Amino acid sequence: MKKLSIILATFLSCFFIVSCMDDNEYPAHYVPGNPNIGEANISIAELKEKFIQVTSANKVEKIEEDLIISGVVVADDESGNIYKSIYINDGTGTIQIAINTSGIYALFPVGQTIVVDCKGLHIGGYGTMPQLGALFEGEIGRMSEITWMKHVRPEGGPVREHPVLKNPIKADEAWLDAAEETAAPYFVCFEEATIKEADGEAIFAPEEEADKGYGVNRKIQIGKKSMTFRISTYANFATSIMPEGKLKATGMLTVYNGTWQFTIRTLRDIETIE
Amino acid sequence: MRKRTSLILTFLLAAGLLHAQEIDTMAVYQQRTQNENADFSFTESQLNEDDDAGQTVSAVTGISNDLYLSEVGYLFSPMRFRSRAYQNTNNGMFINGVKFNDTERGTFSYSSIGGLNDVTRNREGSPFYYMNQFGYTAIGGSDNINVRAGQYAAGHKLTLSGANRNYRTRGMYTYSSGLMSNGWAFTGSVGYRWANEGNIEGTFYNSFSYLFGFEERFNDRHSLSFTTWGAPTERAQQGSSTEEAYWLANSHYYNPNWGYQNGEKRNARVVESFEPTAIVTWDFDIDERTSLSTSVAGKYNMYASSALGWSGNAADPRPDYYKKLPSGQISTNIFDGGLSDEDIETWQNAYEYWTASKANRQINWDAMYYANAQQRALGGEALYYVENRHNDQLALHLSSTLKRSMNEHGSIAAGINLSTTKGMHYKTMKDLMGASTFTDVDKFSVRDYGVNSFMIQNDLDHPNRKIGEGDKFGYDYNLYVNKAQAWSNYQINKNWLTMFFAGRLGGTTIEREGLMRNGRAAHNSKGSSGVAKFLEAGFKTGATFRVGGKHVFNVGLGAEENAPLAYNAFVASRLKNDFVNGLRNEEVINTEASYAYNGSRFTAKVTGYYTRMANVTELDQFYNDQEARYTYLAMTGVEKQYMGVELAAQIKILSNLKLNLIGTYSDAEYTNNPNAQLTFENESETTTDKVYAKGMKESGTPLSAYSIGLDYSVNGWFLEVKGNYYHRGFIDFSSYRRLSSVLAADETSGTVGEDGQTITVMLPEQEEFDGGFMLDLSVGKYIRMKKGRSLSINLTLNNVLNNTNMKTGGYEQNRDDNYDDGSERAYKFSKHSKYYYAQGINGFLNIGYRF
Repeated sequence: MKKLSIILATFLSCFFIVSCMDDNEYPAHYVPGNPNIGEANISIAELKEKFIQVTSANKVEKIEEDLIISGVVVADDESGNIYKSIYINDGTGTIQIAINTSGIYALFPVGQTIVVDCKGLHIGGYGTMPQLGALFEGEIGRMSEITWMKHVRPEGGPVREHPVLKNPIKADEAWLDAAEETAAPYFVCFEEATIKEADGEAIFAPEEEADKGYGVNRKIQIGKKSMTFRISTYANFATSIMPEGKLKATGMLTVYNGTWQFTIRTLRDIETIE
Repeated sequence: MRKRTSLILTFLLAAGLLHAQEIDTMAVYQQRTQNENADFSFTESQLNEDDDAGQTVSAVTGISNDLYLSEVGYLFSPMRFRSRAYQNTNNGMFINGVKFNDTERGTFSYSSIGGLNDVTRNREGSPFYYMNQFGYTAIGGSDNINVRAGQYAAGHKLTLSGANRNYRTRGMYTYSSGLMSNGWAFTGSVGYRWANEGNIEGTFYNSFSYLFGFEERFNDRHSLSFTTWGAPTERAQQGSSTEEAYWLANSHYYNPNWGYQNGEKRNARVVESFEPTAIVTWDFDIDERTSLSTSVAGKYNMYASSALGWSGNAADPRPDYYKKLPSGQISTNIFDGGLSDEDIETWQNAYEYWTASKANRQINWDAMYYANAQQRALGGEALYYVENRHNDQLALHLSSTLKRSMNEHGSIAAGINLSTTKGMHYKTMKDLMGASTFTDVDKFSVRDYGVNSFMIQNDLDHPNRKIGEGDKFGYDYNLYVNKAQAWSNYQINKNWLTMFFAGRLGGTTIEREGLMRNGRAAHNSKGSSGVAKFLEAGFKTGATFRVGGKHVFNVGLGAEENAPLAYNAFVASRLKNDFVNGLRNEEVINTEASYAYNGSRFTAKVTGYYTRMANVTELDQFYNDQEARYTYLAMTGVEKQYMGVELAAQIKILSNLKLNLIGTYSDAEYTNNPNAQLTFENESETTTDKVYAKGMKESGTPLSAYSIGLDYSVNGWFLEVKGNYYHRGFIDFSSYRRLSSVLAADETSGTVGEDGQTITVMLPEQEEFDGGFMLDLSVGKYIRMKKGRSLSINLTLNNVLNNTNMKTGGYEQNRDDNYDDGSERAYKFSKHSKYYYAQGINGFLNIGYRF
């Protein structure tokens, strides 16, 4: 009987010991990307200027020089309105980086500073606007996630109140008149704007009105100036009702073959002004 | 060479003459070996990715007097063979006369008795057309395990095992008092099965098991027994993957379910199960010819299966998600060739990434934790998490069986069975992976209805509910199933004829009770669904003719009307209370005939059977990549037929050397195009459709299997060699890809007529797997010692030739090759099905010491 209880006790203790093994430790030192990337050696504005002949002609060029830029992510794909790309800004300018994956914001959300090694990437004009990416059928396209991870290094963690995020260009009618297309994209804030189609019922991007790019072009009015306000049907606010009246709107001002377009990142970018 | 052969022959002959007495022990040895392997053979190590349905083999294992049935279950289990290709719902498992098949899903959970091999060995197996003492058997046959404490032989038994299968080591200890002079008997068994890592990388196994029982025989007429058992288990699972992923990983056993976290392997798909069960049995011998056996049983099943979850627009973290594979990253169909330079570079980069390190092709836990930390820094919620999907169940049963032998020519058994089951289905947050909170909304609905719509709420009574670890979310509902049945079987024996009749009559009720008001079904998700009632019946008859003592002919005919399973009865059980349209009894007719020859040196049996099922209701649940949402596809009015030939023969070459032949050639297929009801989890509506299923084969089992084996015994040694050939295995077809609406949208599939009938529909073909051969060996020694002690040692080696190219199963992806607008995708889902492969060489060493 004693033997039996010893055996039983052994079995039972094995069970309890092993059943406590379930603790999953929090990973301590993981940082995505390539830790071997050095410091930035060129500003975003300088990079864009350097390749302006290529991008303004909608051409593509592989970057062979050791060019490293750094910037804060100012727009990401959190809501789905921006798709497979992010925009970074270093105070001198903004550039779009096109990556062939979704959920980029999981690792590199708005507010995250990143360093990007441009050597080996392609730069090209997409509707004349510069974009970092990869060659696709002779034009600028998206780089693979694998390539992206070899060319990016985050610096610190995301900062919600980052000065770059707090200080978008205060764009008004006069600023828009003077804005140079070749320097797009811009990270802007319209202090006073209205959505033309907003009537208290219309939603941002009904599927039945979508074009081939799964987007709906609305009009946003800034002073007397009106421009395309583009919403993706995949945005998580695509079916929300567009707010009426005067708004404050923050987002990316892009250009596509001479046409200005305004894109918001999430619905939080639109505030109704009392 | 010739000399060696003749030496062996001489040895065999001599051995045969000298050790004729060991013939009987060979059969005992085989049965014991099989039993020791049972918890490998019947373990659910591979689960369907989305609905957690166990991919177990199915066979009745307690039948000892049938050449074919006694062997086939274990013999072909490495290929997950299902006898006659029936679903495992068609096999019954009774314990002390109580049917323990889950009333919701119809299957028996072998893991509930895992590690209890030594105390679940005593079982009576009964094919469909045989008289039995415990119940109305299922068409695939049934087993009845006897767990009364008084029937276990007195003594101790210690069993130690080592294996390279889903577990590495096993220890079991059993003590039974036997029936003591005071009328009491006790038995107890504990077991432990463990693997830090099983044969599949990234899996582990951690299972304790116990059984305790006592019995008191009050007098010659009355005895009462109580037995309780359970097997708390935690085990990690293997996942299937595509040929491309297997090729990149250079292994058919690549498991996408795990990844490194802080350098440690962690599996995302972990099953925790514990099903404590108790049964009280009262045996009453009314008179010499009549006995009554009554059992009351209860079980509380706690079952949870974990899975990764991701919210918002976070990317799919599964390492073999098609966009992460080389062929999923390029812009051209890889099978067509003609890749551009950019595609070649992209493919090459992805190939190098996949093959550069193991971590690159597994789950990146660290990155998910990092992502959650990023969100947390911004005041956000979990993007990645691990959820637990619970299928708990409380079941109560009452069974009573009256047995009477009328005279030497006849006997009758009759009984009643009552059961009530409450199934509890819900999700909990298992691990927020460093995040502090999560909002309970449906991310797919967010895309369709917007972040501010009530439709996105999973729990509309508590909108935007913040949940933490351990909290329920997603869905929460109960399924109630009540069953009542009366049955009887009767047999008369004449000299040359045995006649058998059996019948049953019963009823089933099914009800869903929603505990959450779902935003997509605000008015029909909370509260009761109402009760669906079904009247069930079955009848079967069989006759056995014996001619001249050596020839036995057997014929049987049966028909049944069975209630649909509760699991299949709702169009979207996680979402709402709606029953499937046209839900009604399933009809089964079956007939079989066999001939057996029982010679002194040669015995053989051949059986032919035909089964037809109609009005079958089936439910597929899956994550639908095409629509990017969870999908329910209910099929009603399904018709299927099963037919085939089974052969078993045994030749006694010597008294201790036998040649065994077993084979089956069968067909099991859908014979119509059933109606379908399609529901997406992010929509309120359910649409009707049709599935082009006609001609599709049952999957997950080879439809043909053949075996040739030699058994040899000498001096307490036993040796078995078996060569098994399997073929005609088929892939599990995607009902979604064969929907009329999906086919119609697909230009390459031709046209579907307005009446829904086939005109020129080009149905996707169902893939047939290549056949393959496996060699199995078993060697054992039985040593009798003084004072009734004994030691048995045996080693079983399966797939000795290490054939790693045999697909045991697989399934098509629920996605077609074209975009909604008809244009072709670069990634051809039809050519990237997911597969499981049979394990390569594997062994099981078992040492049993009885004292």
